[in-house]
Amino acid sequence: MIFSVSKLGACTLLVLMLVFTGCLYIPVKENKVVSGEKISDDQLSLIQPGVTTKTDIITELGEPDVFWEDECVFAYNWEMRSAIMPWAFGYGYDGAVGIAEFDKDYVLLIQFDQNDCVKRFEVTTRRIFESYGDHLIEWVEKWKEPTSVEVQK
Amino acid sequence: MPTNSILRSVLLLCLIAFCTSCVFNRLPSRNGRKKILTGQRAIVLIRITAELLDGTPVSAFPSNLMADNVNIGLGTFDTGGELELVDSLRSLSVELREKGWIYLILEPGRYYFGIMGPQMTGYDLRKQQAKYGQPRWRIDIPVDTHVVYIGTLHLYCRGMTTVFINKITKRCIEIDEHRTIIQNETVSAQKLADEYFGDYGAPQTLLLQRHDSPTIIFQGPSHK
Repeated sequence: MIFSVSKLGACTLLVLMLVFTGCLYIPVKENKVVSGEKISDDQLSLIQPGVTTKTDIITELGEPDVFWEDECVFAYNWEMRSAIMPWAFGYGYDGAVGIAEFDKDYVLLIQFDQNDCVKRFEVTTRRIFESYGDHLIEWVEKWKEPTSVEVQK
Repeated sequence: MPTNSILRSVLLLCLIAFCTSCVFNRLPSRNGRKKILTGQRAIVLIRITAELLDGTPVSAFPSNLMADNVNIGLGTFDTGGELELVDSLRSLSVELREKGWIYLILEPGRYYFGIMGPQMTGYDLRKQQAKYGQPRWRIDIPVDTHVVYIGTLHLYCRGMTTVFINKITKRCIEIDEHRTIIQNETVSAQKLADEYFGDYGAPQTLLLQRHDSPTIIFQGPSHK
């Protein structure tokens, strides 16, 4: 019996794992796409800042999952299986066994300049409990040049 | 089971039923009211009606304890458009809820709105729908809007008959989202808003827009 768990579920299971040390958290090779479409290294190698345009990106990768208009950011999402945890539960004469699966959220973020050319791009992973919006904001803020007021400080 | 335990269970059930009713039927709190009046929040009024594939009308939000016909998901900038189950649906009375009238209190901003099936069935399907479910609807709540009517969604669903003691109920178990239509009942919404939300000013009608594009679009985290 195999099933997916939410982030909260994953944390709960993690705590339970620590309590019941009989459980094993096993990292696995990330070769199973759980949702979305994985962007391959070959596809990434085609993206060149200052050269590749928005139209090129759509032609190569398709329509983005999210478009943040104000910051001109495209986002492509996919999830990879990153770990499994066999579990067993027994009560009286009854019980159950199974494998819980843990996924990692990947996001390819591409920001365009005013000429619709790629300004920068990066494949990022979302931290557990980090909201999608916060992830986008943090990535955009990371690249922003400090304002003159911030420099003076 | 001893009589005391049975009695306790019955009392607990009655308490839950009472509390559930309290939670569902209520006007905005004092704090909520202040935020609505200052334009930081808006009352978003919507009606959801449903019928089974054989034409039998069913209530989207029946008032019994087993009520689980229709759920609503909202996608925001924070969720990247992924629908999250709304557990704070409000209604103004049992009768209005049975008729499908509910409201939400939301911050100004863009929302993706989706109809989700019963929680008791098809968990995996709902999870998939939350991420990639199509179609969904889009609504932009402007700043300084107090009351907005966003339309009446009419759903078609596959049904099931349940029997509890001598009560036979027909209920939705799977919604055919592609057949969902939007209707404009501004006159009824205005009447209702005048009665319950009269001191917030006249309601504005901003109907939900179908969003069939694979891309979720946001201007920015305007609701923050």
